[in-house]
Amino acid sequence: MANNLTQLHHSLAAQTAAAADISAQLNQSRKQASLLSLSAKNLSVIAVRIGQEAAGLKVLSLFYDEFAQKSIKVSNKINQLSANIAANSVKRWRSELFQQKVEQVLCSQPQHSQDLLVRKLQLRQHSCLQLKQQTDTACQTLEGYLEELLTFMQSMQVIAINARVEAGNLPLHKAQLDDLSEKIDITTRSILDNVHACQHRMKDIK
Amino acid sequence: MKIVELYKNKQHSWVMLGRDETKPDKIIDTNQYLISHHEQAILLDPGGIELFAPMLEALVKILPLEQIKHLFASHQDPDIISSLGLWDQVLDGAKLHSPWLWEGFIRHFGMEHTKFAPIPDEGGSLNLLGLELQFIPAHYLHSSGNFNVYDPKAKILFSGDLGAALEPIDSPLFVEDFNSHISKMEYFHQRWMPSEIAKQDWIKRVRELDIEMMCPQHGRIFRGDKVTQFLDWFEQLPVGIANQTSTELDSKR
Ligand SMILES: [Fe+2]
Ligand SMILES: [Fe+2]
Repeated sequence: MANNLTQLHHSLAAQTAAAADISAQLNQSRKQASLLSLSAKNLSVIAVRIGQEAAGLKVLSLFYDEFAQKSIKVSNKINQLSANIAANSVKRWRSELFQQKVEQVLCSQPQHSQDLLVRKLQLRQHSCLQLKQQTDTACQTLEGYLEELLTFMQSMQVIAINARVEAGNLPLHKAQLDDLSEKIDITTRSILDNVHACQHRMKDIK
Repeated sequence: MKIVELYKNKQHSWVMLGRDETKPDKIIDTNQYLISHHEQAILLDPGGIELFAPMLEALVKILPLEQIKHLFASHQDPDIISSLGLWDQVLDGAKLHSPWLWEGFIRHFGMEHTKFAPIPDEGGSLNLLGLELQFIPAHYLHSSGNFNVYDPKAKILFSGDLGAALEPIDSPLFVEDFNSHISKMEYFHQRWMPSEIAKQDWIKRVRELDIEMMCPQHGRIFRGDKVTQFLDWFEQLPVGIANQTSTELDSKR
């Protein structure tokens, strides 16, 4: 039994670390999404300067910004969720440790088994179950958010391809537009990498 | 875990809990104390997280746990109170009396159900169903916010890290020969205690108390004239030695 508990404590510690990790990664992604939003605005300014010729580019820049804003929001939500998961696993660790110690006392001193101890043990068992359920739900939501972020980034990549095509029709501004597309591309890929890393890390939480 | 009754007078008792044989080797041995008066009790320096189970095991043999209404932490060290997050789950709405200075630090050990009762720098008291316990300032000895507990009825002073000795688990409970005990206390007091002024201040304060027993958080208990012997010895002991050379130390003796 002691071994099982040690394993549980290790897995709770791993859970806390993984949640903290995800939170850190997503914090990074949020900063990058802000950069994306800035790039989208730059694109929009350039399109306006070019005028009617770049009407298509203007529309694309709006899409860009919209996805960037959405990504910031989702990253914030993921951050909050992973913070909750980490806090939950610390609570669970404390509660599991308490149960372990009390069970030890009840086993070694059965003649002194006090009602209070038995009651507290049951209470903790119950609250641990609740904490576990809360973590499970939070994990499901978090996975959903990660999936959403992934879709946003994939959409961004599609828009980037279209933007390059549009740039091809505007030879005077091609260099400038290509440069901007490149920046967007790099940032998007970096966020995608982050999301994949987080999805991988989720294994330690579940 | 040894359970030793130090004082008993009708509904008033002092029990020492310590010398736990099950404790991991590298963890410093600690003495915990339980003062009971009628149907209420206070646990002094409840100990580290590793000690929680043996302490609980000992306490269920002594009293109904509901009677423990108060906890006292002389300062913020882990050997004093890192078990708080676990006591917090077993005691309903107990009060933790501790230096105000450490509240934000001690809460890191986990404190959801326990109420923090801050002791101001000048000290204070606690009425345990008619028994007046005094919190005696012992700041900078060694912790910058630190208190002793004095029971004027039992004439016992719980002195925390003062009078502490670093000893093996099977050491006797009481100091019998003071001179041979010095070597077990000397380095601890010189290295852990940082302030000469605080030391003299505390000695002066404690000399005014009528003490029959001085109970430290580590090592052996001082009885009768051993208490004065300790104060006299401590008075001339150079403290805060980390940055001093042995020649400097010798010249101070
Ligand atoms: Fe200490
Ligand atoms: Fe100590």
